[in-house]
Amino acid sequence: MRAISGRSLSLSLRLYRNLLRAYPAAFLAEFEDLLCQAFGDLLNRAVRTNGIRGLFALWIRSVPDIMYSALRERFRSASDWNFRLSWILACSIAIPTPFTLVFLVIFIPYKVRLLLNPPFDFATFGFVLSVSLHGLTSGYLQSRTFGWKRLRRFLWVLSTIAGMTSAMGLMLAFYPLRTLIGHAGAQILCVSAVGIFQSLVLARKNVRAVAWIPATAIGMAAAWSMRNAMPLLHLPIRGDFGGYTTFLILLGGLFAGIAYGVLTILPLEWILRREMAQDLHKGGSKELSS
Amino acid sequence: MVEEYLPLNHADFHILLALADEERHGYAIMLHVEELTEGAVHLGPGTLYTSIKRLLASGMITESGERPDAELDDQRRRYYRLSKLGGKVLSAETTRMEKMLRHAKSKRVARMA
Repeated sequence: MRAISGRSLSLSLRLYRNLLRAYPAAFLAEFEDLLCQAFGDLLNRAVRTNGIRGLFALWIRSVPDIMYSALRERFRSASDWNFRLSWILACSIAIPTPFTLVFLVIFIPYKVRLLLNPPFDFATFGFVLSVSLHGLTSGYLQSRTFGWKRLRRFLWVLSTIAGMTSAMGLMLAFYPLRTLIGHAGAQILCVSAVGIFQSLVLARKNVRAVAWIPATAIGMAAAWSMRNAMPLLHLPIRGDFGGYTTFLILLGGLFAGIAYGVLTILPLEWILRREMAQDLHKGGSKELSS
Repeated sequence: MVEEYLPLNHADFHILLALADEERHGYAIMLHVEELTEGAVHLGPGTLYTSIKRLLASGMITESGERPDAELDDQRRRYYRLSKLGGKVLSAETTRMEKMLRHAKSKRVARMA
C-alpha cells in the first residue's frame, strides 16, 4: 500500500469543493460545509484502509455522485428556476414591446401620411425613441427579477438606458467599422457598451461582473443574428406597413428576447451566485432570529 | 396521506431506516447504510444531502437540536432524527416491500437464479 501525503489529501478536498459548484447556490449555502466534511471523513477512511487504491475508488464513486445529484437538484431547485424563467420572460417582453409600440405610434401614421412634412428626421427620431424605450423596459423588467433594493434597481434601469443609447450611438458613429471587422464584430464591440454600464451595477465587491461585458455583447449580437437568419422575419418590401408587419416585428423581437434571455442567464447566474447565496443566508438567519 | 410518499426511492428508504433507531449525522448515516447492506450500497455525500434536504422539507426527518460533547464529536456536525411522519412512511414502505416479497416468494423467483 503506497503512502499518501497530506498535500494530496488537501488537494482532493480542494478539488471536491470546486466540483461542488455544480450545485445550485441555494443548496450550497446550506450544505456546502456538510458535504465537504462528509467527503473529508470518507477520504480519511478510504486512504487509511486502502491507500491510493482507496483514494481512486472514492473519486470514481464521487464524481458521478456529484454530477447526478447536482443535476437532479438543479432541476428541482424551484427558486433558481424562478429566477431563470423570470429573467427570460423579462427579456422576451422587454425587447419586442418598445419596438412594436414605437412602430405603431410613429411609423404607421407617418407612412399613411397622417403627418405631413415632419420638421425633423422622423425615422431617426423613432429609432432613438425605440432604443431609449427598449433600455427603459429592459432595465425595468430585468431589475424586477433580481430582488435588489430600490436604489440598485433604479441604477440598473439607468445603466441599461445609458448602455443601449451609447451602443446605438457607437453603431452610427463607427458605421465604417463594419467593413473592417464585419457586421457581427462591430455589433459585439458596440453592444458591449450595455455590458459595461450594467456591470458597474453588478459589481458589488464582485470581480466576476467583468464577465457580463462579453456575455451581454455576445448574447445580444447572437440573438439578433439568429432573429435575422429567420427568413419569415424579414420585413416585407418598403411601404408595406400593415398588421402583418407589426406581427413580424413583435414576433422577431420576441424571438430575439427569448434568445438573449437564454444565452445570458447562465453567465448572470454565475456572476450573482455568491450574492444570491449570501442573501439566502441572511434570509435564513432573519427567520431564525424572528 | 402516507401513501402519497410511496414508493420511497432507494436513498430515502436507507436514510429513514438508518434513523429509525437513533439520531445520526450525515457521515454516520453513510457508514450505517454501507454496513447494513454489507457494502452493496454506498451513499455518496451528494446523494445523501440532496435526499436529506428533501426529507427535511417534507417533514419526514428533523434536525436535532442536541449536540454531543465537543470531546466526543465534531461540534459542526448536524444530527438528524426520524419524525412521526417519517416513521409512518417508513413503516408503510416496509409493509409494501413485504407484500412484494411475499408475491415474489409465491412465484418462486429465488429459484430462477
